[in-house]
Amino acid sequence: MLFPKERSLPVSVRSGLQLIPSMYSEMHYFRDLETIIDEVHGLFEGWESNHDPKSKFSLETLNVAKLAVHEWLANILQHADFKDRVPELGLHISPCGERLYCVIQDNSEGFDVDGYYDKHHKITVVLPDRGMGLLLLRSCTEELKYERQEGRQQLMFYVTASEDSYLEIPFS
Amino acid sequence: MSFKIEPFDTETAVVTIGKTLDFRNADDFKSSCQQLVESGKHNFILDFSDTGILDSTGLGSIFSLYRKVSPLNGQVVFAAISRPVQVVVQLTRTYKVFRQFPSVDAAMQALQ
Repeated sequence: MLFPKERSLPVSVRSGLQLIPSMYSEMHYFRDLETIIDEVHGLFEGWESNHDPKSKFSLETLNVAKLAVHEWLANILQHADFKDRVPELGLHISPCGERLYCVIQDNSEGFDVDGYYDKHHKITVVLPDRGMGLLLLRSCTEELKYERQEGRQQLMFYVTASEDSYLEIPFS
Repeated sequence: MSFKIEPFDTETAVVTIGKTLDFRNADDFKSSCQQLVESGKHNFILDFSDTGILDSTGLGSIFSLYRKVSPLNGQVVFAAISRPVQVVVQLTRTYKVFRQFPSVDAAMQALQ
C-alpha cells in the first residue's frame, strides 16, 4: 500500500456521492483508471468555479494546470505498466504565488522521461496526429521533474499562463 | 463520444464537440469526420462552447481532418471557444491555421 488507507480513495468513490471540490494543498487519491480523468476534471471544475478573483494565480493558469495534468494522466492510462498491482494515483495542487505547483504520483513501473526528452526535442512531422502530449506537457510547465520516491513515481512541475510558452508545431 | 454532428448545407457540417475531445474519443471523431468528407462535406465548424478539455490527441484528430479537407479547398474553423480550448490554441499557436469565430452563427455566415 503506497498511500494512506484513510485517504486512499476520493469522496465520490468511497461514498458514491458527487465529488465535492476540496481545498488545495491536499493529496487526492484515485484507483479507478476508468473514471480518473472525469474525476480529476471534476476537481478542476470545482476549483475553477470557486476561484477567488483576488488569487495571485489566474483562471488561465488553472486551465494550463488542468491540461498538463490531463496530458500526464493520458500518458499513464495509455502506456503505464502496473504489473499485478492495483493502480494507485495521487494528485496534489497548491498555489505558489502566480504559479500552481502540481505533483502526480503513481505506482506503475514508470517511464524513462529524461530519455524521451533527450530523443524528442521538437515536433518534426507536419500537423501530426499523435506524439505531441509529452512535448506539450514540457512546453506548458516549468521545472518539470520526474523521480521515484519511496516506491512511487512522481512527476512535479509548476505552471503559469504565459504568452511566451508554446509548442512549436510545423503547420506546412 | 461526446460530439454531435449536424449538416448545415451540402458542403458544411457543424460539429458540437461537447465536454471533451481527447485520447478517449479522438479516433471516433476522426472516423466520423472521414465519413462526412467522403459524403461531400469539406467545411467544418467546430463548436467548442461546452468543451472542458481538448488535449494533444484531440488536437491531432483535428489536424487529421484539416489535412483531408485542405486539398479540397475546404476549411476547419473554430467557434465559441471555451477558456480551456483557448489555452490549447494559445499554447500550440493553432490560431495560425484555424480561423476563430465568436459563435457558430458567425462562422456559418463567414463560410457562406
